Amino acid sequence: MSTRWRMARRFVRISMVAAALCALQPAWAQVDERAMKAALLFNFLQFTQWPIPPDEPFRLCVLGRTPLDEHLARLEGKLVLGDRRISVRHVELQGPLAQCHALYLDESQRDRADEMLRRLGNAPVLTITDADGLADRGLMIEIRKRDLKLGFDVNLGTARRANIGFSSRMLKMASYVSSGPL
Amino acid sequence: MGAGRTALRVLLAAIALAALGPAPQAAPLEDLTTLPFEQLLGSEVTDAAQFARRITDAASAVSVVTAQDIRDHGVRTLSEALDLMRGLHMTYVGYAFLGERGFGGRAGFAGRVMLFIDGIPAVDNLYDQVFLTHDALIDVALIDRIEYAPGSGSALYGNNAYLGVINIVTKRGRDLDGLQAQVSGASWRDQGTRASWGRRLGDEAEVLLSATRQRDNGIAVADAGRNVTDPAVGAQSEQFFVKARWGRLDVQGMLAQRYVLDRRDASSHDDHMDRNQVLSLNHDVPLNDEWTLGTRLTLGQYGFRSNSETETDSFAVRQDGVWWQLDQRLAFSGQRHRLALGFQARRDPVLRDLDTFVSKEDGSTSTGSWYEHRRAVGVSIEDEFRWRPQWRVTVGARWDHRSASPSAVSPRLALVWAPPEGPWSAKLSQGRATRFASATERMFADGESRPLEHVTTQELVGEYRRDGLRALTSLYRYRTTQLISDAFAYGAVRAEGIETELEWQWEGWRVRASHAWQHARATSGLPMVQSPDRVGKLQVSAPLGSERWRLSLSARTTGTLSMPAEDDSLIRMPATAVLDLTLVARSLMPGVDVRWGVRNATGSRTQAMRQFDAQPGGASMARQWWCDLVWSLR
Repeated sequence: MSTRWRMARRFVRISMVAAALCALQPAWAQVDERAMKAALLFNFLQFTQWPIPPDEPFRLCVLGRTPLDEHLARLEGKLVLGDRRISVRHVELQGPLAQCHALYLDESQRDRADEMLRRLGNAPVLTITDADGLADRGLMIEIRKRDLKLGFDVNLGTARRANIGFSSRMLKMASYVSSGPL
Repeated sequence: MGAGRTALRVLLAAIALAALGPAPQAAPLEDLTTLPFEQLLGSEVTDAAQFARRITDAASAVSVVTAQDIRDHGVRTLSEALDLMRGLHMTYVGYAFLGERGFGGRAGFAGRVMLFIDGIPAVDNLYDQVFLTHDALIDVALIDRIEYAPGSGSALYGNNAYLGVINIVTKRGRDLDGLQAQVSGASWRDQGTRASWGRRLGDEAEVLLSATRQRDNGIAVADAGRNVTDPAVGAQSEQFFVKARWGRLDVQGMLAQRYVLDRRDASSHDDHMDRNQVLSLNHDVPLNDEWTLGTRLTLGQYGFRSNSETETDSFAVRQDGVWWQLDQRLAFSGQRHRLALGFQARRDPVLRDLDTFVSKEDGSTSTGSWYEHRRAVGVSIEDEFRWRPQWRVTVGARWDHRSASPSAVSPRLALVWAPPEGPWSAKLSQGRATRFASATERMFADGESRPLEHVTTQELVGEYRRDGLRALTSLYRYRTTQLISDAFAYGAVRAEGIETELEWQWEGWRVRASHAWQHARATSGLPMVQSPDRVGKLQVSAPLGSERWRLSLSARTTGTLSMPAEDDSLIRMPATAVLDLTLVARSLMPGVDVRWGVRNATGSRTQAMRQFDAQPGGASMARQWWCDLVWSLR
């Protein structure tokens, strides 16, 4: 038996013992990914500034049906921006999107992203997604999963064109802040 | 084996300890919205049920394997990844061969599936073969997703997209966001190392670099059998990958080479080497809100070297293929129409085979050579028309011409019913694909012309998706013209089958089960080689206490099949059932993920193969233990 093979076997055995010891550590508190996304979305609303303060109620729109619906529905009636109550609405692409204050688009609606952005133009609507790569295509906030945690990218260029601003505290916590789509 | 039993006991103990840990605490949303933003971003999350999205535009039953599947099921080669998919089966006869819908294995079937890596054709131009083990152009650790679209794809992709298309999307620099190192070790003398670095360098630039080195006992996967255990037989593979974006320009380079050295006798040896390399430049420009123009230039090179020597003679083979290809795509995306126009110009300036035979007895030398070059051009058009929110129809066709061959037209028609609110959808498609003889098939024809090969495919797919449940059924029928096959005079082939798949996700559990019944028969009456009548798959993955620990199971069953023996006679191989187990520990230490696994956990010994030919009673599959460690520095 070669020395290399003996070392490989020893490596496997040692690593397994180490793993068994590590397994003794207490399980880590983890939260449901969808609930976390809805909570992040709620926080984005708190740290965003619109050119004209949103009227009552605050219209949080959701394009189509998404796996987050149940958790987003729980945001109904919560206060944002001081005294505005959230109203969660499901909208279609052909609907009056510009009346939304914030618009969430999920992975299942990816194919409709370009059309949605065309319809919105520079309307002051905060666009949020958890679909990979859509911040590059012009959505303002993209929630991303990295390892076991969630983070987010900000497309500041698109937001500025829509006269939407973000607090420096939020921008500091973003994984990446870009200046806009290519 | 003592070490194996010890390892198994420790592995089971680790699983038990992890499983006994307290269950993850799922905080309600009301609590989460009161938490500070920073605390939310620092919290770990459990995986939400989410079915993999599909990017392949096909009306067939597309299968997807994601980076998550690759990680959790301990996938280490492209062949193992494809072996997770419904209806696909692998055979290992020197190389890994993909079998699908009744067509499988070597005997020329390699050239009937197209492989793209980030849109770059990754098929050699001598055998039209896809390389799927450590000889593949990509290390699976760099893969974000793999999609397999069965059925004729020639209307869009041209030659090779005959029975199916594999689309691989690789990770981006931002997905690594730093340095990553991986070391792996396994029984049967397998060991590997990888170093990768990726980063987003501002809005305009992104880079990913990677190098992998792998050593094994000459057979890259455990399923291939373990007959070659002599220390004098070994293999080494290297894979290099570069992907960079600068503005709208994408540059990608990939190189893979694999040497197999067989030095069992002092007086003889039998070595061979495969090398593939591809360089691609891609540029996409939006002309306005609706029109986009894309241009891709790809350069490729393939080399095969073989050197065998006995006491009486030596034989050397040197094969080379060089090619370049220019693709242009003009795409329109409107409210009701999505139109794609494609143009392709290709040249293969070098297609060469040189053989040298030397007799040591009389000192004589004989050589053989074959040389060819070819040109090809293709034009395609496809329109997807959406006339109601739930109805869309796709009509497309491609015209291909290749030097010294007649021209071919490959049409495609698909009707899709998919209400936006779901949960049901249905797809009906019909297409015709064309395949030109590969360079080596022309070479073996000794100057005789090879007719084109056509296949007509029809498929009906029904799918149900709601919450964490997805169910799919596909019925298909294939009709080919006379197959190009040097080993077997099949004539035309008729194949039909039914595939079903059920996927369920709940509270971190992911279960996917599939069964494929398939029946392929040749008009000549010859049994189809490596064509099992059924293929079953089951994958279960579950968190142990939290997402930090996950145990996954993958089972595969394949029905009886015929394998060609050394003299091209057929041997009936029994049905096989293989079980793999993988335990993943994430963030075991800061930035360190560790995986342990056992391939063929039950020690199934039902299938037997030699290096290049079937041989019952010779080799058998063996249990293989493996472990790898990934360290990420961000």
